[in-house]
Amino acid sequence: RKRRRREAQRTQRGSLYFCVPPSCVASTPMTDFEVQEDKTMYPFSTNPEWSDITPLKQDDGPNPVVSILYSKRFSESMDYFRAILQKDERSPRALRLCSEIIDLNSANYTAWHFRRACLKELDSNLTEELKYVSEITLQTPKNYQLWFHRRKLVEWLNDPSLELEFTAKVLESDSKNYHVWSHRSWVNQHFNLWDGELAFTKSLLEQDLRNNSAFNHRYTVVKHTTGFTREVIQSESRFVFELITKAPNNESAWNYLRGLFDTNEFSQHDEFQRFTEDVISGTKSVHAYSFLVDILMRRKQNSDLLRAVEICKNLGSELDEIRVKYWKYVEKLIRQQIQDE
Amino acid sequence: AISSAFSEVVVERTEMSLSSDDGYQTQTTRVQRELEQLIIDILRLWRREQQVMSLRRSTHISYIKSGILTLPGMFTVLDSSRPWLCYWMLHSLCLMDAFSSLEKDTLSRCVQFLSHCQSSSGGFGGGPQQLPHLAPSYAAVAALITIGTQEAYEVINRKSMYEYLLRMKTPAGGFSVHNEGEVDIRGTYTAIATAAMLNILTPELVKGVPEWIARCQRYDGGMAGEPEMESHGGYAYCGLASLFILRRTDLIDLPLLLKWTVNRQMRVEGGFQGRTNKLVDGCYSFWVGAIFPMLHELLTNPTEVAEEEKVQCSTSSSSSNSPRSSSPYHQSSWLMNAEELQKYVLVCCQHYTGGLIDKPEKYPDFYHTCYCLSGLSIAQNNPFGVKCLGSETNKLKPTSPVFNLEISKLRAAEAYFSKQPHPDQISVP
Repeated sequence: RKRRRREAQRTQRGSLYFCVPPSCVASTPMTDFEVQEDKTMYPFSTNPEWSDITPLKQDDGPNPVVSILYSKRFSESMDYFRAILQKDERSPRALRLCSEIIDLNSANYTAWHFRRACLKELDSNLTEELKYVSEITLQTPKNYQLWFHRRKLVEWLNDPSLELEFTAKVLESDSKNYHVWSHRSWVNQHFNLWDGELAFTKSLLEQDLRNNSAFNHRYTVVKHTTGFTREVIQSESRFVFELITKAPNNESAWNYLRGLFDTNEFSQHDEFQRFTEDVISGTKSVHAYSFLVDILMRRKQNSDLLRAVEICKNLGSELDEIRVKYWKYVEKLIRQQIQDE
Repeated sequence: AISSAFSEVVVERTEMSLSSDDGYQTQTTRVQRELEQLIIDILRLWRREQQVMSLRRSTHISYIKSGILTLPGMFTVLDSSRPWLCYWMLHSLCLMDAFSSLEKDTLSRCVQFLSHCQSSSGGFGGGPQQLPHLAPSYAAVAALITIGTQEAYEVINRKSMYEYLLRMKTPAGGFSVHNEGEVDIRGTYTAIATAAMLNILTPELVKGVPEWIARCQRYDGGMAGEPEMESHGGYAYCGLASLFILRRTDLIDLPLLLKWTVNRQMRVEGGFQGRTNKLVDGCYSFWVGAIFPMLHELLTNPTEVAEEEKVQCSTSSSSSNSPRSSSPYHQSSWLMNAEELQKYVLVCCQHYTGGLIDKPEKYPDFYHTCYCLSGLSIAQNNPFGVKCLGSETNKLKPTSPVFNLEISKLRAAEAYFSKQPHPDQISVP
């Protein structure tokens, strides 16, 4: 293991030209993460368990491009994997081979897919499989395939009992991991499991009130539980008002507030406006001004619309210069509205 | 004159202060302010050394050339994304007008390799003998169109691709990215864009799709990977581009999407973040940047978009000049701050060894090279007149915001595929 780690570090240092692929596409660490020495089946060519299989070479064609200089272990493992795929052999050894492939390249979606086929065929212990996925997840938490695999397992087991705790744990190291929130949200919806979710988002917002993922999740929770009733909007807006008071330049909070405002059929414009004006009197918060423009644009009186125009001018020329083109456009829209009235 | 005016804008920004944390620090503001300080230092250094804002074209071309034939072992993690590698590299070279710097047979070799990634049951996989997957299917088709030869076009089995896309369709309206794979808005975009590029869009393929996409719009106006999830720049791009192709942008709240999108631009950095209260990243220069030309087209012409505009977002001024409606939206440029975006890419996202990056202190990769350049191209190629920060020699070829293909390559493909037989149904108008 030490030797492999040193090798990987050498690759890192010598590789200014090439680097870790973005999490946007494939996320595994630069190193092959270690399969315990006693568990690997490599080298296959001398492994009696695999003596019946003829390895199937990769067919890149005669003059390929973007050819990767695979390790011997990777090449051979993939040769045996291709052979097993061709046979469609869904056996215990095939399952173990999938583990090896996933270990070498956890973004190999073909291996994950075949793994699921094997699990079904063998009627494997899915609880054990969940443990396996959990271990890998903690090493590479930003991998699409792994989270989708987890979703399937939980679906087949029809058991969400570990999921809330597990996702909460992964969020401890990265409170905004998109895959984790996605999984948690799916669990909530699929199993209608909403108890404690509101409190969960609250605790995350207590850690960081700028966590946009937590706000987003909160919106989903409210939507699927109480819905946006008059009372809920009131209590939710009080909750957000408090957070905005602590940090008036927090866009996440203002977006959530506007979300409440937009679902509001009960025309509590006054309360929202009063609060916003209050904030503005204390701090020149761009988002406060922006929200005020939204509120004023809902009104029909010229005085409100003209005031909105002034705010847009102020935002474009001073407070939010980078968005000057946008504010000029909004100003134009409002002027159009005034003309139309 | 234009260059110096832009330079003044940049110079002013070096005096910028850090974004306020309202005296209430959290992890979000800590990392944001740390990055802003780094950016301000870089700009200050740049200004002191009177550096010219130039796109170091030759270094990026060398970077790509050094990887196009073989890649070191650490790329094993991208072994299921090799068509993407082809597309990122070829598209980048194309935008830099650098195909001529490739060896004569390289393009043909790319064509042959991609044909080995095609599955006999339709679609392309991440490599030979891999399960077909919507993402490498899009990437392979986009790469082949970027190569643009007859040989390249003919590799694609349109019939089996169509059947494959249909099989990936789910009853709810989304697309599975592979057989029994995850369903998210990337799947929708890659399926729809691929079908559009190949002229195999049909009512059967499209049924239920716009409605599923619309469910992905969030309360803040952005769009998520799947319904109920957080707004995200990459997914907002996928959603809008898909609806744009399908001519169903009427299903979402465009003004709210516009508001969300403009707020993704960072005051100090100039580039775009992918989500509210997260950090800037060079790749969003395209994912978020490309939303603007599409919104521009939609807000300028709120009625039915004309046939020829379905696959274009032209650099010619003719289509944008004519007032087709009484829309108050009559703008002479995108609503983003194109100068600031160009500044971010040119000053902060070029790695000194070649290749482009996410943000300073990161290492280059082909993905960020592709999307930083694509975003730069969008920012430069304004329909009312090209505006290149730094120098006209920085100008990249224009790219389609809908498909992220160089415009002439897209036109050539459109001309070719529109003549090919269409699946036995009436095409979507």
